[in-house]
Amino acid sequence: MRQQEEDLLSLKDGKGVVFNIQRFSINDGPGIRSTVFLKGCPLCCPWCQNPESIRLLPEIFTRNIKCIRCGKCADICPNGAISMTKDSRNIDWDMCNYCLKCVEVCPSKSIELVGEYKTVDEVIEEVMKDSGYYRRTGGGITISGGEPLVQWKFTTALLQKAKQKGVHTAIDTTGYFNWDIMDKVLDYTKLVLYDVKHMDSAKHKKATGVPNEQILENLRKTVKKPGLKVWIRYPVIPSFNDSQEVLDELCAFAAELGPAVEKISLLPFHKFGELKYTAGGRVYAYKDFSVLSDAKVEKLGELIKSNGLHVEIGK
Amino acid sequence: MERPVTKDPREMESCDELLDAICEQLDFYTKISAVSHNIGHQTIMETNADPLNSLMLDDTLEKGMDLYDYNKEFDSEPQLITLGFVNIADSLAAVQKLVFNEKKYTMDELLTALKANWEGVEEMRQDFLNAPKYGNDDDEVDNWAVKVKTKIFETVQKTKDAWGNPFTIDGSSAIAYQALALGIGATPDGRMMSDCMADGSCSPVAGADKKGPTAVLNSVGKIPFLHTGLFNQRFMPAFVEGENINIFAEYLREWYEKMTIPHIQFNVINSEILKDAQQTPEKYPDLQVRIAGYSAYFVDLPHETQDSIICRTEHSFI
Repeated sequence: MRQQEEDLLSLKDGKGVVFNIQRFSINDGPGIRSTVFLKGCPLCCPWCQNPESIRLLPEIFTRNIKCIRCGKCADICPNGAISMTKDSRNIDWDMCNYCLKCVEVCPSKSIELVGEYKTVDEVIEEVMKDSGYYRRTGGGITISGGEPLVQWKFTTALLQKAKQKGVHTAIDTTGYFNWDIMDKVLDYTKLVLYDVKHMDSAKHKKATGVPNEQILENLRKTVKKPGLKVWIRYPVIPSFNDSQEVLDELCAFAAELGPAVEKISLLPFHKFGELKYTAGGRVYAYKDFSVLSDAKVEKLGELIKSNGLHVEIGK
Repeated sequence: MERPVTKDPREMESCDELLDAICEQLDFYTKISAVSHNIGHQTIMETNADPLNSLMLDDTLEKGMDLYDYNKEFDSEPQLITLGFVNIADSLAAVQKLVFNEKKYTMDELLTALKANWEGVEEMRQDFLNAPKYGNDDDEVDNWAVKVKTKIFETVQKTKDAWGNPFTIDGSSAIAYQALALGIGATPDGRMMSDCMADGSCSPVAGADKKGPTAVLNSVGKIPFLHTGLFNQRFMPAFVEGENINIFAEYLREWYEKMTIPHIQFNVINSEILKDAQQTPEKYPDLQVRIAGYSAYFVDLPHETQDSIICRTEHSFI
C-alpha cells in the first residue's frame, strides 16, 4: 500500500491512469453502459481476471501472434530484457522496469501499452459519445478497476462530471479503503457493485493479501447512505469460497444489511484472463483449476434464494 | 473520351488534393458508365417491353405506358455502386497522418510499397495498418469518411443520363467486396493486393472496429447519403437472448430514431469462423468475441475457453 501511495503522488496533475474504456458494457449495472477501468488495486487476488489492473502505473502487454520479428523492441530496450530468436521473442520480466520504450517502436502493436494518463474531460468525452444509449436503456457510467478508490480524486471528478450531465453513475469496488474518502465518493454514486470474497478474515487475507474487517464495516456503512443501491458481487472461487458454509455466512450477513442490497451476483470462476497473465509477464496460479459446473453454481444460487435474497448468476 | 491525367501524387501537399484527383478519375468513369447505361436502357426500352409488371401498377395503367418507359420518365436514377469508399477513407486518413503530417514516409516510398504489394516493408505496412480506422467513433478518420462520401456523391451527380437524370450512388455491393477486390492492388490502409474491401458500403473494414457496436453505429451515423448505404453488424447470439433482448431492442430504437441509418444487417457470429480461427489463429489476430459484458481477442483465449464459446454459439442456434 505504501508503494501505491507514493505512486499516486506521482500521478501527473489531475490525470488518472485508465487502462480501458469498455463501451457497450451490459453486465456492470443496468442498461447499456461504459465501464471505465482504472489501474491500481490494494488487493492481489490470484484469480483476478484483469491482472493488468493491479499495478497503478502503466505497463505492457505482449501479443506474440502479432509480432513481425523486426527486433526493434530488443534494440531499444535499455535493460536488455528483450531477446529475439529465430521464431520467437523472449522477455525477461525481472529486468523490465516498464520504461515503455518498446511500445513506442513496435510497428505491429504486438507490444501494447496498458494504462494511459487521461484527463477527466478526455474520459467523459469518450463516455458521453454513447449518452443516447444510456438514456434509453437506463444505463450510464461504471468506474471499475483495479480498485477505483485508489485513484479516488480522479474517480470523484469523473462521477461528479457524469452526474452533472445526468448520467447514471456506478462504481465497482473492493470496499477496502478509508471510509471518510469512500463516503465522499459515494455521494456522487447511484449504484455500488460491492465485492465480497470471504467472510473469514484470516482466509481473506491469505488469498487476497488484506483482511476483510474494513471491507465488511464499510459495506454496513454504505447501505445506510440514502438513495444508494448496492449489488453484492461474489466471485465463486473453487476450494476458496464455494462451500455452503461460507455462503451461509454471507447470506446471514447480507440479510442484516436491509433493502439497499438489491441482489447478490454470483460470478463463477472462469479462466478468460489466463493469457493476460502470460501477456503481462505474470504467473497464473489457477492454471490447473477447473471451472465450476453449472449445477454447482445453480445450487449455490438456490441457497441464496432460500434466504430470501435476490440472486443473479453472472457469466 | 480520354482518361484524365491527374496531378502526380509526389507533388501533392495534402490528401485533399489526392481526393480531388480520385474524383476527377471517378468523373471520367461515370461518364463512360453513362454511355453504356444509355445504350443499355434504350435497348431494353425498344426490345424488352414488360407488359406483365406494367399491369401491376396504377400509374403505368393510367398513363398507358410500359414500365421501362415509365421508369425513365418518372422514377429512375442511374446508379453507381461505389465499392471501397471506406477503404478510401481509411487510406486517406493514414496517408494524411504518415506522409503529410508526420512525414514519416514519402509519397514515393508509399507508391513503391503499394506497387510491390508491401513486399519487404512489413514495418511500414504495420504503420499504415495501425493508423486510425473508420468505425471507432474517431473524428480524425470519420471526417475523412464524410468528406469522401460527399465528394463522391457530388462527382457522380454531375453526370446525367440521356433522360436528364443525374447519377447517384448505391451501396448494395453484395459479394463484390470480396470478388472484385481480387483485382484491386494494395491500398494505403495497409490492405494487401486481392484482400477483401470493407463489406457492405459503410461497414468498417473487418476487424478494424475495436470499440464495440455503439462506436461503430456512431461512426456510420456521421456519413451522409445513407439512404443508399448498406451496413453490416455482427453480434454474438447471447446479445439477443434472455433479458438482453430488451437492451437490444432499445439499441435498435436508438439507431433508428437518432442515427437515421435505414439499413443494418445483423449477423450472429458464425461457429465455422470461430473454428477456423482456432485452427489458424494467424488469420484472425483481431477477431473479437464478447464474453457477456466484455470483449476478448478470440485467439488469445485458452483452447478450452474457445471450445466453450464455440459450444455456446452452436447451442444458441438450436
